[in-house]
Parts: sequence; C-alpha cells; structure tokens
Amino acid sequence: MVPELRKRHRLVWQVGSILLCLGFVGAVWVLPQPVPAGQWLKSEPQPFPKILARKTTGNLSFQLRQGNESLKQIEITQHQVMEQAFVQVFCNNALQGVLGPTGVQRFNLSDTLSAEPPYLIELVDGINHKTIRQIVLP
Amino acid sequence: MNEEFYIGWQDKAPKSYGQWVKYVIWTLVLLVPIIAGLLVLNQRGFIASKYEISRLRTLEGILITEPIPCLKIPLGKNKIFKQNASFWEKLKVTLKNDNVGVAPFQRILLVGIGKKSAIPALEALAKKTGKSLTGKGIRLMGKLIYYDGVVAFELGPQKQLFQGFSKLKDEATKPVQLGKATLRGEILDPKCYLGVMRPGEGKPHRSCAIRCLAGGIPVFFKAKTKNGVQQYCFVLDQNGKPINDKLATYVADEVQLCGAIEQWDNWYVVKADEFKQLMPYWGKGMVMCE
Amino acid sequence: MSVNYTTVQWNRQKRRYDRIMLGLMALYLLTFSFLQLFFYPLISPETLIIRATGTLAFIMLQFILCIGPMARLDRRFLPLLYNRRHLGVTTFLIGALHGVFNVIQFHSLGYVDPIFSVFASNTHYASLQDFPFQVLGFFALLILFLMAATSHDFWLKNLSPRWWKSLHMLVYLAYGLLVFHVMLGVVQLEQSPAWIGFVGFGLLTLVSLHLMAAGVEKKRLEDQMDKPAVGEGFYLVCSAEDIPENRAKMVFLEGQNIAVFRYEGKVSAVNNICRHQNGPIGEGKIVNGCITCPWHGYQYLPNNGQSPPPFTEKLETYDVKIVDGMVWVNPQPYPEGTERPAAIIQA
Repeated sequence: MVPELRKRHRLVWQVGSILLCLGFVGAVWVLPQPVPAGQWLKSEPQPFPKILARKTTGNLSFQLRQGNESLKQIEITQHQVMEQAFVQVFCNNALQGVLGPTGVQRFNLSDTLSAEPPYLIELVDGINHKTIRQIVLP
Repeated sequence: MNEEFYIGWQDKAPKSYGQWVKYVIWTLVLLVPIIAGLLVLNQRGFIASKYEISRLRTLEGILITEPIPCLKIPLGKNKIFKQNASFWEKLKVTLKNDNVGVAPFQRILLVGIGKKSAIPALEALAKKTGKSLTGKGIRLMGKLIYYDGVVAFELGPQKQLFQGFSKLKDEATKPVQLGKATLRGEILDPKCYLGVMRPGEGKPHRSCAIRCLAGGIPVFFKAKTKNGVQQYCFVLDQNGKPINDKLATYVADEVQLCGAIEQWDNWYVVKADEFKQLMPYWGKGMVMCE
Repeated sequence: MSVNYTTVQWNRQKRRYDRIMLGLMALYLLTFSFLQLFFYPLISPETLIIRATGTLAFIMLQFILCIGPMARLDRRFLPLLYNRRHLGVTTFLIGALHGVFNVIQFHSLGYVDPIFSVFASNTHYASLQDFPFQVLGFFALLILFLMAATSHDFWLKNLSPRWWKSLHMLVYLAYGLLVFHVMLGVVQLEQSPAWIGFVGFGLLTLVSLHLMAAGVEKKRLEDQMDKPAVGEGFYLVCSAEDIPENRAKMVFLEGQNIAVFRYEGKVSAVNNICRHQNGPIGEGKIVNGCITCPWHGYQYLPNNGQSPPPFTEKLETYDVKIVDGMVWVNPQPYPEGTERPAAIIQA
C-alpha cells in the first residue's frame, strides 16, 4: 500500500469513526419508547357483582356472574389469541355473540336463559362451524 | 518469523501460519453459532396471525363497498343455531328469543390481491354481472386472513371470484355511537398485520404498509389501552371517508388519534378529527384530546 | 500472477479457503434457521430468509473489514487476506439475496414500480427516526455490486491499481450505510440490547482495529522517512548487516518508495510497490531467487525488477552501492524492468 493510500485510510477512519459512533448513538436515541395507554370506549357490559362459578380450560377462563334480579352474565377471558378466524359463543344453544380480541368479554344472558341453569357454553368456529370448546357452568 | 513466509499460491502454508489460521477457524466455528443464537434468541417474537395462502374458500354474505369494503356475514335467524342443533333446540331458541342484543352481522374486511384494495376487483365484477352488488347477498371466493378476532378476506383471482348470488337480505344496522376518545397506538395496514406478513408492523414493515394504504387498503389502528390490552379499529376521517393519504405518513410511528368511536357490528371505527405523531423524546406534552 | 485472464486462478489454498468460507456460512444459516424454527415457529419463511441473509451478509462484511488491519498488525493473518476477494463477492451475493427478497416482499404487487417504491414509499429523508433505511441498504448493495463486478484482475489492470483501490475503498462507505440500515431498520423494531450490542461491538472492533493499524503504520512510515546523509546523489540507508538475509529495508527518498533487498551476499534496490495491488514488496521475502510480495505472492527478479517469464509485471530499479559496509541508494529510478548491477557485500 502506498503512503498516500495509507494516509487516506487513516483519514477515512479518523473521520468515519466519529461519524459512525455519533450516528450509532443517535439511532439508539430515537428508538421508539413505550406509548402511554390511551382511552378506549367499548360497548362492553359492566361486570355483575357476584361470581357463581369459575372454570379454566386451555387459554380460556369462564366465570358465571350474577347481578340484580338474578340476571346472569358469562365472562370469558382469553389469555391468548384464538386459532380460529372468529369464534361464536353459544349458551344453551343460543348465540350470545362473537369473541373479540384477547382480554375480557362479557355476555349478558336474557332473563329466560338466566333462569335455566346449568349453562352449556359452547365456542364454535364461525367459518368451519365446528365446536372447539364446551364447558358447563352450574 | 524471518524463516517463515506465507505465499498464497504454494500448496501449503508455513507451520506457524497454518497453526494460527487453524486457531482462527476454530474460533469462528465456535463464534458463528453463538452469534446466530444471540440474534435469534433476542427477538421480540411473532404473532400468531394467519394467512390461508394455499386455501381458497367461498364466503357468503352481504357485500358492502363503502366506505370500507366488507362482507357482512349474518349471525341472524338462520345462523344463530349451532350447525347440528336439533329442530327442538332451534324452536326453543326462536320462541324464547334468547339472542336479544346480539349484533346480527360479523364483518369481514375485503382486500385485493397484492397491495391493493378490493374495490377495483368488485367494480370489475359489478360490470361483468351488469348489476350493482352493494347491499346484495353474494358468494365470493378468496383466502382468509385473520388474527385476534379480526378477519380479512383476500379476493381470489377474477375468474374464480364470483360464486353466485345468495338469498341473504341485508338488515340495516345503525352504528352504535360510543363517544369521543383519545387513542394511542400504531397505524397499520390490516392485510399484512392480520396475517400476510410476520411481522406486519413496526419500522421494517413501514414501506410495505405505505404501499398497501396507497393501494386503497383501509387504515387500521392498533390501540394500546390500560393493562396493556390491545384493541383494533379502522380509521376514517371525521366525515366517514377514507383517510389513507393523510395517515400513510404516520405508519409505524406511535400516534395519537382523537375522534368519535363507533361500533359497526363487530368492528370499531374511529372518525379521526385530529392526529399527531408521538415523538420518542417526550417528557411532558402527552395531552389528551379535548 | 496471470499471463492470460481466467475467471479464477484456482490453487489448493484458494480451494481450502472457499471450502471453509462456505462451510462457515452453511453453519451460520443452518444454526440460525434451526433456532428460528425451534423457538419462533410462527416466523414466516420470507422473514426467515430476509433475516438470515441480512445478518449473514453484515457479519461477513464486518469480518472482511477486520482482515486488512489484522494483517497489518500481525502477519499471521495474511492467509485471510490472500483470498479476501472471494469473501467479498460472496458477501455481495448474500446481500443481493437479502435485497431482492426485501424488494419483492415489501415493494412488489403495488401500484408503483418496486424499485421506485424503495425510494418513494417512505419519504422521511429529513428525519433520523423515520429515515428510509431501505435506501441506505440499496446504495450499500450497489457499492458491493460495483466491487464484486470489478473484483477480477482484469479490472485491476485496466483501471490501474490506484483507481481500482480508490473504488474499492467505497467499502467503508458501504459499511457505514449498512450500520445505519440495520440501526434505523430492524433494530428499531427488535430493540433488544443484544442486537444493539451486536452492531455496536462490531463497530467498536472495526474502529479500534483500523485506528490501531493506522497508528502502527504511521510509526513505520515515519521510520522509513528518516532523513539520511546524502552524497553524490546517493542516500545512506543503513548498514548491510541491518538487512536480514532474503529480506528488505524500506525507505522513502525524494518521493520514491524503495525496497533494498539483501540476498546471496549482494544488495539490490527495487520499487516498493507491487504491480498487482500495490502491496508492500519490501515486506516480502526472496524465495527461490525471486522477490515475493507478501499479499498475493507476485514475484520479481531483484536485479532487474522483472517478473520471471512468462509473467510480465515489472518494477523500477535503482542504483545501489556499499561503502565500508554501509548501503547507499540513488533514488533516481530506472524504467521498469531495467537491469542494474547488485552491490556486493564485502566479507
């Protein structure tokens, strides 16, 4: 290597090191920070005060709640994403709704349904129409 | 060192050089898997989104083209029963009216092939059939894309797309007004996020998401709510029209949206009247919308 | 050394070098893929390919850039330098695979041309946080392509070593672009200290090696540029005994870079710059009567600076004399390949 080339290498690395290090620090500085939570408005029913029964199966937890005038509520907690495209929730063969994203969801049972325990909860794959989970809440 | 001299074109390197190179090679043999492991094991992971890339399905529903093209799959009378429910079970449910309050439809977003909206394909289909298809019961063939309760449907190739009309009747459902809110999270394109790419979010994916939004795929928002729970919604402008051109620039950034939230069947839609990027070096200034 | 241009002048060392290189690459790709599929089975095939090839190309480039300064600091790394160009071309090919997959995955099937989309999708050129990092990767790949395309000796000869070397110094720019491509791209998503540390450690290693080598070279150059005594156009270089047998003393005189070799009881002086890639002839050795360059083994006869037939490379020669055991050199160069009498070392 000729001296002139060595000098050029030296200069490139003397200047380049500074620029690269500064740039590296800059890139770390602009890493996305965690976002504080925002608001969310949902048409989710408020939880009924009394818990009558609890069951957990796989990635789902079920709670049967009771409110005023013996009305019942099914609370389903998804701990993980469901494998199905969308999942219909049936109680004693009546459709109550569809599961949303992971988290807690509540389905208020009608007064006639509330009066007819036990409650057979079935989760049905909405595309393939297959029952994927079945539990009974007393 | 004066005795040993390395010449590349000779068959064998001198002993000290050869020995040294062996040390280097063995060091690399040990280091290479360690580096691979270090990089792999320190990833944030991938979500269980699904794209049924090799499976064409037919879905039947009511076609909606504006402002967000979708198929409304009725959860109405004919479908509120389990598929193998007996006659008496169905009769009992019908008479007792045990589904009061259940949203009658499940909306499934329609998207085109590639990074394109479903609208051109649907317009071509309308032209081919000679009828307006909006609000009609229809059977379409395509591929499902889904994650965490949100479903999209990629329309199939034009030749296979239309599988006939259906007898389903639309029931106009009024959007449920939930009020104004300040949402914080990330602007996404739903097609990639819900399954076509993993990861379908974040900075590396930004260009692709911009391409998709530029192609007309509706703007999707992943909102972070308290307890770390994620919620999803589509974003329109305050007049309920697509807002792709204004929001594409914010893709993959942390964003604050302000607007009225509505529930359209199983979907949440925010009509944004204000939006801004949340910068990484904030301290104060995280003000909620009025 | 070549008489005719062949695609690759294979020899045993090059074959071994390439076999080891391919073996290590396969080890990396297999380990990476296996671990990905085992720990993250949800990864999509495209993401796996993009990450495997991207990380491999980056690691290979960092390794390549270490070879130069390591060889300057310790000659035992010269075998790594010998076939470095194969390493470079392979790095480009892996990088190209990464680039092509990225363009197809992220930019195709839209309404605009995929290459245009690389530049036009994300236009936050004024923002560090949102900078279109894929553009950085694009230009880095372009530089690596230019280097791979001109890696053959044909281009070295026709562009001249000086211009060829200048072109290939763009590898430093490519490296810088890739550091930012990674830091403003995938690291913004992954954010793990391991990924940041991986890039940072590589950067620190390269900067340290290059600055250390620069310091050592500067010292060597200063030693070679000592102002010796002058007499009748000749400069005093050193005592003949100071030059090891079959080795050289390097010196700068009146802008001439000269290597003075001692061999068979004589001393000859030739230009210190190899005609192949401007390697330092003076760090070489006389093997079987020929001055041999330490970089790629190019050879020259000491008395006339000519490559042994059938090769055609030539060096300038200089007059040299020995007076009372001291070596004197006249820096006025003779045309390349001119025979000059060697100076005899008196017993």
